[in-house]
Amino acid sequence: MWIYEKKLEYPVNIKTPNPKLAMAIISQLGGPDGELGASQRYLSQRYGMPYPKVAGLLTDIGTEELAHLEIVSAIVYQLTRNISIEDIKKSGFEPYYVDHTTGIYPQAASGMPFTAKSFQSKGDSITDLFEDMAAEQKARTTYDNLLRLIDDPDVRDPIKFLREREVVHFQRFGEALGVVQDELDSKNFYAYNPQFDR
Amino acid sequence: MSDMANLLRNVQTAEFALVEANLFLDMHPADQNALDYFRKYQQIYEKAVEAYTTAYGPLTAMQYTGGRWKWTDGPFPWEQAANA
Repeated sequence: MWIYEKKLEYPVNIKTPNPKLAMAIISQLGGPDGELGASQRYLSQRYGMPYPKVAGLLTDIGTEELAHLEIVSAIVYQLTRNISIEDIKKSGFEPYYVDHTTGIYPQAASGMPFTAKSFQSKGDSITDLFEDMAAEQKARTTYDNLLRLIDDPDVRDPIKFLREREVVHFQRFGEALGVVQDELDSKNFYAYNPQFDR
Repeated sequence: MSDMANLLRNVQTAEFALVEANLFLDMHPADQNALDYFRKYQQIYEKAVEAYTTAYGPLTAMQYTGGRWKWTDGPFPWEQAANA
C-alpha cells in the first residue's frame, strides 16, 4: 500500500505564471515519456520479477515516480495559477483551457491524453529492464528539451532536479540488468525468459 | 523563506539523502559506507520530522498526536505557500 506524505520531494516555488510553458511541461505529466507512464511501467513490471532485489528496486523507483508526478503537477499548477482570460488568449493556452480550464489533466504537449500505449510490461525481465533504461534516457532527453525552452530560474530548478533523477534511475536499472544477467546462463540470455520458462 | 518552509526543507533534504541511498542499497545491500550513510541521515531525518510536525502538524495522518485534526489544513504541498 501507499501512505501520503504531505510534502513535495523537491520544492516548487514559481512566482510568475506562464501558461504557454505549462503546456510544454505537462508532457512530463501525461506524455509518452512522462512520470505517470514511468510510475505505471515499473509498478506493473515488478509483479513477475523473479529476483527480489530487482522487484524491490522497481517498487522504490515506481514510488519515486509518483512523487515526480506530483512535482510536475505542482509546476503546471503554479504556472497557470490566477491567470486571466487575456493571459490565456495572449499565451495560446486556449486549446487546453477549453477542455480543462486550469485543471491538471495528464496529457502530452501535443494535447494527446495519457495512454498506457506508451509503456510495456512484457513479462520478461531482460526485455523490461532494457525498456526501463531506455525510458529513463527518453525522459532525460525530454527534460533537456524543456530546459532549452525555459528561462525562469524558479522553473528550471525543479526541472533540473527531475532530470538528474532520470540519470540516477538509469544507473540503478543498469545494475539491475546486471543482477538478472548474473543469474542466467550467458549462452542463452535471449533464449530463456526467467519469468516464464521453468 | 517562512519558518514552516524552512523546517520542511530540512525534512526534504534529509529524506532525499535517504531516498537516494535507498535505491543504491537496493542494488548494493552489503556496502558498509552506504549503510552507515543511511543510518546517519535516518537520525537527521527523524529530528527534522519531529521539529516540523511539532510546529506545523502531521506529514502523514499516522503522526496525529491528539487535539484538533490538522491533517487537512492547508497549504497543500503543490501550493506556493508551502514552499516559499
